[in-house]
Amino acid sequence: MPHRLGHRRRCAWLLAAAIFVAAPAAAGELVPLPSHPEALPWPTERWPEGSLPKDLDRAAFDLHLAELFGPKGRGGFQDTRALLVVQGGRIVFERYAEGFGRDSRFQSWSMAKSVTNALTGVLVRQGRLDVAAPAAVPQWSGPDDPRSGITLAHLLEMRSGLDNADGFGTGEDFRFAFISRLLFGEGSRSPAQYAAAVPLDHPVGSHWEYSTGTSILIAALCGQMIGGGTAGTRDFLRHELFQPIGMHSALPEFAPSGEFLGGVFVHATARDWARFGYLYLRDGTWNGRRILPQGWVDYARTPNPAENNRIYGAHFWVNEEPASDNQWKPLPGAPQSVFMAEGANFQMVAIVPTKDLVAVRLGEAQGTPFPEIKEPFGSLIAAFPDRSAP
Amino acid sequence: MLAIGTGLVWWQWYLPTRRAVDIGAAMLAKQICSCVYVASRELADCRADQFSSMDPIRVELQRDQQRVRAWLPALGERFAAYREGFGCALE
Repeated sequence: MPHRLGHRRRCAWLLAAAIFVAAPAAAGELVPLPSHPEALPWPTERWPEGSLPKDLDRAAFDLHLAELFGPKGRGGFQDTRALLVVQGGRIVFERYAEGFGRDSRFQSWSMAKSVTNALTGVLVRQGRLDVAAPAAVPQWSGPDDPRSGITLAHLLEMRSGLDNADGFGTGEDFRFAFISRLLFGEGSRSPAQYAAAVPLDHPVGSHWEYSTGTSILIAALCGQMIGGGTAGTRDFLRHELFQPIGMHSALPEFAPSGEFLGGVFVHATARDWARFGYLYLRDGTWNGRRILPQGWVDYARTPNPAENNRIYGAHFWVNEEPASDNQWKPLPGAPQSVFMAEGANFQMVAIVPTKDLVAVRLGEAQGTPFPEIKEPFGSLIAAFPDRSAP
Repeated sequence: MLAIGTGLVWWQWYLPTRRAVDIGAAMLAKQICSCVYVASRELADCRADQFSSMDPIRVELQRDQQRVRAWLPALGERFAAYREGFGCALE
């Protein structure tokens, strides 16, 4: 009986997926995204500033703030270097650790994946990429190659079935994990090629597996579409994404072979990471201009239909209960509506529709088990009052 | 016997160590390069943020070329270089 229910659920998911691919805007029951307050300037050149809300749970806020900026030490946790909260379009809290400030650029790890989501979104809006179409990877183009069925959506949702998962969490020594070989070992000169040159280890679309190689592959596909090599992609990101939202400090990095790395390494200040989150809080629009296509943000924040997934959308994390014991809830303590860009050492841009809020946490957290560092941040967000969508 | 012993050491220690050093040196070169030239931080602070398992690997800033060399003698060496507007990349 449970098996049959499981099967039914899978069928329902597949049906939902089919409908979803056809009409991304019609996705499930998502909390509506709040709009930018009228009469308030957009934070393109300057962030409007405000104070902490009067109905903040101050005791909880202070407690978790102290935890986040707790005693530091190498390999220790609570080494937060930037913490920034935007609510109602204004920065209401901002703090930096000693030695860091508003002008400090922070290097992302996997938060870059969410930038790749935005890059892809811009190209979809321009009609130059189609998420439902097979990914144009030359190595997969053979008629009998099972990988020829992998679509851009499969890649964005990390359910391509490719055997290129990062390899953390399986007890594998990080030095020999796929991601290490990809970024720093034999794959490092041309990581997109390295990530593509693997067989399937699951049927296409069925299984969610976190893969930096997949993000780099998407970035390479975007670069191919943009043309002009490294400078072409860099300029496109600047003109179509970073400049329109005032993210002037953003600096993406590239592989020796020239492709945008896509899965790691975008540098930006905390205020600019908050701008990135704000673009998603405002449904991909900025001051009357649509940057990301209609429905794109909802697509990014809807858990994808892989059988083992509830916590990942399309290059964004979703704060649902995980589907299995070996996965973690992305941000314990925070509301379910949160979706987020996340990187190693607990870098996070959390977008909270029910509170009209974006929270950014940057710093180190080497060797800290996930819940230990995440709970203070999730609970700090929970201390902020709800704001209903206008 | 000696040949077998040397072979074993080669197979069991030298080759895996070389691979690990190659990956560690690349990671260190790239991370230090971005930290110094993009984030404008001091070398000592940058090193303190890296995994302690990479402590034996040496790092040298080649400031005139905005380049970083990371190496462990006889075991591995990688370089990363900064380019204005593009950040750091491995060589």
